[in-house]
Amino acid sequence: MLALGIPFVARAQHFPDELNFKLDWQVNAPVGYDYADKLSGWGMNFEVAYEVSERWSLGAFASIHTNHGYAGRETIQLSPTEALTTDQLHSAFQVPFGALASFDLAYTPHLRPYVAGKIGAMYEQNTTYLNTVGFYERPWGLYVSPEIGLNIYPQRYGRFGFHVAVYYSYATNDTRLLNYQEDGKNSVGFRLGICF
Amino acid sequence: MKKVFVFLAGILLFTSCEKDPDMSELDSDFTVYTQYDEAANFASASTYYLPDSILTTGSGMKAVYWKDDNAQSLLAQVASEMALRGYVRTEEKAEADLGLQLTYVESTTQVSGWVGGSGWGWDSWWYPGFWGPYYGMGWSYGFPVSYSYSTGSMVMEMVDLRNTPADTTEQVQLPVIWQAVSSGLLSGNAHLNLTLVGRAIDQAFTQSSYIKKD
Repeated sequence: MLALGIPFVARAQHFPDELNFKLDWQVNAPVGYDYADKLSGWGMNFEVAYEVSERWSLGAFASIHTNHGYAGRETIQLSPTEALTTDQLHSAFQVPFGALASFDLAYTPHLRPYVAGKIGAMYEQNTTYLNTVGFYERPWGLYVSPEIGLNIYPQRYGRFGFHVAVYYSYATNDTRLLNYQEDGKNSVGFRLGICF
Repeated sequence: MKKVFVFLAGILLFTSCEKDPDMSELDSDFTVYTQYDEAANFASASTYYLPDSILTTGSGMKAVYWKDDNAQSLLAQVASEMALRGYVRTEEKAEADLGLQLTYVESTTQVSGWVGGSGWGWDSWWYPGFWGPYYGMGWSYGFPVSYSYSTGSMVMEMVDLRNTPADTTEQVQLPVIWQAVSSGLLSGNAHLNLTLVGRAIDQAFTQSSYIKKD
């Protein structure tokens, strides 16, 4: 995260005031299904947006996140004549990216709350690990995500500040690995980071 | 150009950041996979033959027969499972309806593309002719197979010996009607490894309830 952030921080003073960046650590929890369903903080988020009016910004985003899960030993009927007994480790790695629109709910010297909507594509790599082998699928899907957040500026009307946000996301990615099937992916989470 | 480079570096960083799971969360028991020929009639068989050794595959795909006390304990476990299902073990192959062969793979072994054929794979170990003079045409699997065995794999195969030709000079394929593949990571403890293999054999029969005499 630091390696990605430094070049942008170092050059931020040369960007126009209307151009803003966010770089966040991310906590994500899949909801509504049981594949790789453990909450985790293995993720980050990057955004760039341009103020097209006093309150509206348009931009782009990309994020990454990994969630894991464990399924205990069970016998799976793979077909009428095939059975498999195993436990499983699940790993879901997701990379959504696309466009965003943001609307500032207020504009104060230190606080700038906002709501945002994101739309784009999501690449996903879902891997099921058994004790000696692994199976994976790499589906693509459509991604949408509403978000509400707050930019906090220690200096009055400063450029550099802190960022917090909560979000919900839905992606149309489909996966079927052994006895687990994912028809779309719902997630909730929050982000903590910097804005400049 | 520098900005482009930084941007691309950032993209690369994004796409290389998958967090690997902690594989130690998996239990140590073997994965057990079974499949059978749906045309096979397990219920009408009454006898079976089980050799007194287990084939092991070491380096160079060379057959080595495993006959010590550990092998005998695993073979006894298989015999016990078959007895529980109503089958009687015979001393003569010619009197058996079914045959069981056990192969223990000690190192990574990959065999593919020989389904139903008489290629170089099992033929050099459990060669079909072991089961009778008629089986000169290789193996005949009643289900699709591909092989990729890793260190610590036990393979059990059941063959149907009932439809042998009257003419002993005629060559036919030996039908494999059941297969169980158990695999897992081995520890440095031989007793633990033997326990894991034994538990895998038990699980293979547990999930194959169709192997039962009328």
